[in-house]
Amino acid sequence: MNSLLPTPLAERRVWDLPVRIFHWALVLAVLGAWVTHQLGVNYFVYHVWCGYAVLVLVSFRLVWGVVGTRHARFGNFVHRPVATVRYGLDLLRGRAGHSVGHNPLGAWMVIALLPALLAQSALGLFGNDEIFNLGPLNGYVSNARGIELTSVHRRLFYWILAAIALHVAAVAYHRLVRAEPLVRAMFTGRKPALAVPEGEAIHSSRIALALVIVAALVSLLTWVVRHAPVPQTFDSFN
Amino acid sequence: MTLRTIRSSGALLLGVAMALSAVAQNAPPAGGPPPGGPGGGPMGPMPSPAERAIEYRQALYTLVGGNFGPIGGILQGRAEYNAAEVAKRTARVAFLATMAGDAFPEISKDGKTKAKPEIWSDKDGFAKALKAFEDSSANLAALVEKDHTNSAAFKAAAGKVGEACKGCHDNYRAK
Repeated sequence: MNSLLPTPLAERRVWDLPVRIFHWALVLAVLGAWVTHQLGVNYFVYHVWCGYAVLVLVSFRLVWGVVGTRHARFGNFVHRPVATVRYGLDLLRGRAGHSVGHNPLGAWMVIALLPALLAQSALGLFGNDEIFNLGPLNGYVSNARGIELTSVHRRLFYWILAAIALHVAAVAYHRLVRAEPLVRAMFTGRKPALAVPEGEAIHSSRIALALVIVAALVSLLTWVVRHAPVPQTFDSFN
Repeated sequence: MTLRTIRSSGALLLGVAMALSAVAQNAPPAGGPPPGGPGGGPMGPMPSPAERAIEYRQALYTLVGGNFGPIGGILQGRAEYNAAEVAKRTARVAFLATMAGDAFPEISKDGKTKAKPEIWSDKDGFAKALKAFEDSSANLAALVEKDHTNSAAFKAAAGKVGEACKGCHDNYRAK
């Protein structure tokens, strides 16, 4: 579709394609990581693949928060705590305005969730299930440290789960109480023109740049995993 | 034998005897108190029966882990399949599994252990979980005796042992 033509519902583009793919791919990767954990010790290989996906996706989003399009940039949606609290109070009084990109509270959820997921996926790399599965970088740490990090990995999950629950609840609130179609916007990239001043709309997704970043991150992760030392178990084939 | 070689072998014997007496002088006097005896020694105070039971159990599971870990390495693709090693280790795990039931005396409930109280409050459930370990590891060892390849059947049987481990860890072991 030619983006220069006015759309029937008068919408303007806010989220670039990389942000949208990132968001839904992250949902699938986190869900996959949970499912493969629930399925048990024999699905560990798939659990690791989901973890790689989370690691690459979140790393990409952190870079994209600096070099991405207007509303993907941290500098354009992270407000100071005072402004964020004021927005929260306005929201409760039903007086908050519509945000073009992330709203100030949502921005802080991004700031909480991205590092939490980055830490979670990085911790998993050093994991040890104390049965027969080891994370790909377990060879870098002692046996005891690997078990400690796995314990943190296990507990951090519940914090992430709580954050996701809060995130989903907030989006539902914006949809049901304030009639803001945030989920649809995360699929289509578009928000009602009413909420988006003309100069605030984006006109490119910078897809080539996004692909270069993802390719670089995948190469880096592959290199790190391939060069990891073999875990030195007490009694192994080596 | 010449006179010369008799003399040199005599010197050798003398040397060996001197070395032996030197070793004997450095040895502790016989009949002394064993290290770590009552009242404490270089090894600390004598462990209590509970501590000894916990130590015994943890030693057993260290051996289980040491022998089963490499099987996981094969399943995960970290290690090459090696028929002789697999046969040896699966047999050991099956044998160690028969000892697990005796490693949880009630006195080992309290102390530096991750064993949960449910082991003793839910005796039937715990017995079932231990039986799953014993049965699955015996089944794996029996299969490996006939099937010396990295087959789907081997992977499935080894996976069952892993599931038995997890079943017990999830319910009866603190994280």
